[in-house]
Amino acid sequence: MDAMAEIRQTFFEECAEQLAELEAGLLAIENGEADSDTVNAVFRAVHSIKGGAGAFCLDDLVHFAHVFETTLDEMRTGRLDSSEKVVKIMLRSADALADLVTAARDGGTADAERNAGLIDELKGLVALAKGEEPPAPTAAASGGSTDGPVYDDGMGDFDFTPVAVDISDLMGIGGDNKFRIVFKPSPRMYAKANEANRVLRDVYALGEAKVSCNTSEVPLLTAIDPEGAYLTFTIELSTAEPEEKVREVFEFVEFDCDLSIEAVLDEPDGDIEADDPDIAEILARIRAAPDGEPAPEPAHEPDEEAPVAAKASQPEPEHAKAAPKPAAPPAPSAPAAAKADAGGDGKGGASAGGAAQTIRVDLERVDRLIDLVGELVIHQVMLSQRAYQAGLARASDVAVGFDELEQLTREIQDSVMAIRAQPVKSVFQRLPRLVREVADISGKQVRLVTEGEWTEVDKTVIERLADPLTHMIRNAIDHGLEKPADRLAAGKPEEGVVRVAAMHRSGRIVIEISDDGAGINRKRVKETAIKKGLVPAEANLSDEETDNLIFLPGFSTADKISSLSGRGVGMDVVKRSIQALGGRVSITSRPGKGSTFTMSLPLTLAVLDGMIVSVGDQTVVVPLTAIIETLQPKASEVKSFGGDARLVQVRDTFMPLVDVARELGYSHDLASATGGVAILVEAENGARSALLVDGIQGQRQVVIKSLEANYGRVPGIAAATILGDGRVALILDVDAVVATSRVEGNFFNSGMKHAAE
Amino acid sequence: MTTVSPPLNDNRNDPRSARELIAFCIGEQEFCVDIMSVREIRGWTQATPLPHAPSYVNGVINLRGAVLPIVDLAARLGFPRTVPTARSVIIVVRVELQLFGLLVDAVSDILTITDELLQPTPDLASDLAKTFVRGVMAIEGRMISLIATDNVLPQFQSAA
Repeated sequence: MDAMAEIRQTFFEECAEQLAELEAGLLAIENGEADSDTVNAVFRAVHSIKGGAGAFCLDDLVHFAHVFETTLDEMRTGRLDSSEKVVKIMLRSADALADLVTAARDGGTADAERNAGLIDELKGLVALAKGEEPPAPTAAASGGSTDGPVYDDGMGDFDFTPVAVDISDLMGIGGDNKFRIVFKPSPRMYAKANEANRVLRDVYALGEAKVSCNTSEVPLLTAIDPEGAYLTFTIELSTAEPEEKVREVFEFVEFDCDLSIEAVLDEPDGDIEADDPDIAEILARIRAAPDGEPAPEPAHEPDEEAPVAAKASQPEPEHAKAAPKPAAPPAPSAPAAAKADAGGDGKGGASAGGAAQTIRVDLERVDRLIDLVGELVIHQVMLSQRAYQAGLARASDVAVGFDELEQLTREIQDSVMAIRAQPVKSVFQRLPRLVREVADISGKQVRLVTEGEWTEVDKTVIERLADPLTHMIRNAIDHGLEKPADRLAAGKPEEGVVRVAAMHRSGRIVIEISDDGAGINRKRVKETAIKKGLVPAEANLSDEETDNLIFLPGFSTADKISSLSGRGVGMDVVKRSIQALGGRVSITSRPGKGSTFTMSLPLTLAVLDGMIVSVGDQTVVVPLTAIIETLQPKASEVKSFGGDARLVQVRDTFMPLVDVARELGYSHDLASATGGVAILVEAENGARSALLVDGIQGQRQVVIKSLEANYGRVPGIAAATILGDGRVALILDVDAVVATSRVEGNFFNSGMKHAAE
Repeated sequence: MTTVSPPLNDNRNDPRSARELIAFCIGEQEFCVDIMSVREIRGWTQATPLPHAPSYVNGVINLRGAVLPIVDLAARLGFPRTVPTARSVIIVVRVELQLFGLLVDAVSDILTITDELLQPTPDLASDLAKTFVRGVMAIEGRMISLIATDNVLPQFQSAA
């Protein structure tokens, strides 16, 4: 990849982050949780995207982002209320912006018509904001002109000043309010890539300003600290704006400078012997300095400082975009940052100082590390076992050393696994848009509530979580929630609530999707299932069994196929894809109150909870997710069923008994059912069987190793693992073993059993 | 080490005409493989048998965290199956991206030969042998067959 393509890729990665931030911010505003930081973060996000897009000449994107940014600026300055209508338009604009970014990345085209419409709406908001406050032409112009020359400026402007407005146009509009501002930047401010010059320019935009610069603190060249700050600016401002507006200009730098803003009453020359002795002193010094320098002069200092600041490259969006991503400095905190998500830096400049430091690492490298640590753990176990076997006393120094080594390796393993862990936020943040779209199409009012979005889980799980989650939410809105009118009739608020919550529970991640809709219409579900021949007509099903019918293949309750559901993906596919991840899904529903789908997934795909069993003289691992219970069959419970087929009676149901040793070809004789242990398993299609094994050794977490890399697929075997003694053990593919044990589909496996959960 | 083709130094310096081979014994016979395909040589450890595997696949062992299939080369070539002992040897070879082990009785030699020494497989050989034997050579009165490792592992359909 050449350098440019690399930068481009970084840009799009960062765009994704900015878009997420944008959406999160807008949603916070919508929920009324917004403070000025949120609005600023939203503004910065759009601004950064525009800046980056300008560098790559993505004109459509720049244009749209610019209009969007302009509107946001109105909100930032408080002229535009964040009313529901406004936020809705902004959310749709955020979606459009995301589409434009995608189009720019993948070379497609975005929906130009919709974008044009949105641009008009955004401009309408700006006009509205301006109309409400006529005497603000200056400030509006500073960030407010919607198109034309300003837009052109934005394009070619590589320092990514939001709008490079000609200052001369903006000056000379005085006002009744007079302020004396003393502004002394600290080195910290420059280090954050802020620039005094820009701040001053913003002050000019407010009205008539006279700036003088005190250079008396500048040391001799030999003593000068290139990253230091020595200048103090004193600004006499005459403006129509109130003091808050003036303070707003300094908002970004407030904590990194000495600032005093003082209203001056009526006397243009001010009261030099002001109440504040500090000011008086400073003013006295300013007097002492040779004539206050004219405004553009201060630019000298920032010019000197700028390159230094750029190198320091704080995660301030402006600079992050201008320079290619700094090549991840080997921060001393790198191991500590392990928990931070691998792709999630650039949290924006909202808290430039507090943002967690992150580095981007190639996933392959992390996986290699995980592999190596897995081997380390195995070897550590082997080594200590052998040491004890060799007759080493448990209390000896060596044994103590082994104990410490064990702790250390476990810790390393946990930390390494944590590198791959990411908050589910990356999936959750796509949901609001999904909900909006589905709500629009289905004509329902939906509020999405997410909880536990910082719950961490392996990256692969996250990636494969998106599809089932999307489908389940679509389902919840389309089938779960009622139409607004029906909701009102049922005495519920018009707006339905879909809640998505993630949490850790006993070493797994649990995600609940609940709606406050009508719940499952059990009567209809049962009728449909009977009609489709999935259950016998006379079946007597419990409520729970009925609810679980919707997971049967070929089941769909939708009377007609809407554009949302019925895309050929049923709940059976959802269930299958969750089970493929080693997860389970269940449903609870209360009529009139709503339904809750609960899925439980492993935290990582690299390890698996398994039951270690003996089969013949081999050791085999059975995935715990498939196991329902284990039992020791009594002779009276095992029924021969023609040929070699046997059934085992578990309470009042019969299920096929699968002789694992025979299925795997480890033995040719039929194992005695009473001498072994029967493991009740549920296959992906919901069918239950009992696996006959010789004994259970224990239960433990095993590292999954591929058999296919060096060999190929083995029927009946899902993967391999390495046990503490260094031997390879095979992980059983429960479905395949159960399937091959049946010469043909038989009747134990009726829909009735499917339904039993 | 047996050096066969004089002048020795010239061959060593010219990698194009010289190749190094690892020779090993299966029963009374000697075979060899290109040293470039050999990753390591290790002692026998008990393998975990694979279900439904061909008879010449002993199973899989743990090679520092990787799962390594072991092929009984004698059985693959149509000889009686090897009974692994503590003195048996596993030659770990790599074919493209796959790593696997060849179970043999012992490693006997490292040879440096030139291509002229390699004779085509005689017609007498069985079809099975022809699949795996790329050629034979006579070295110090011994006959050594060069094994092509490409087809030793059972072939899986990619879809399987």
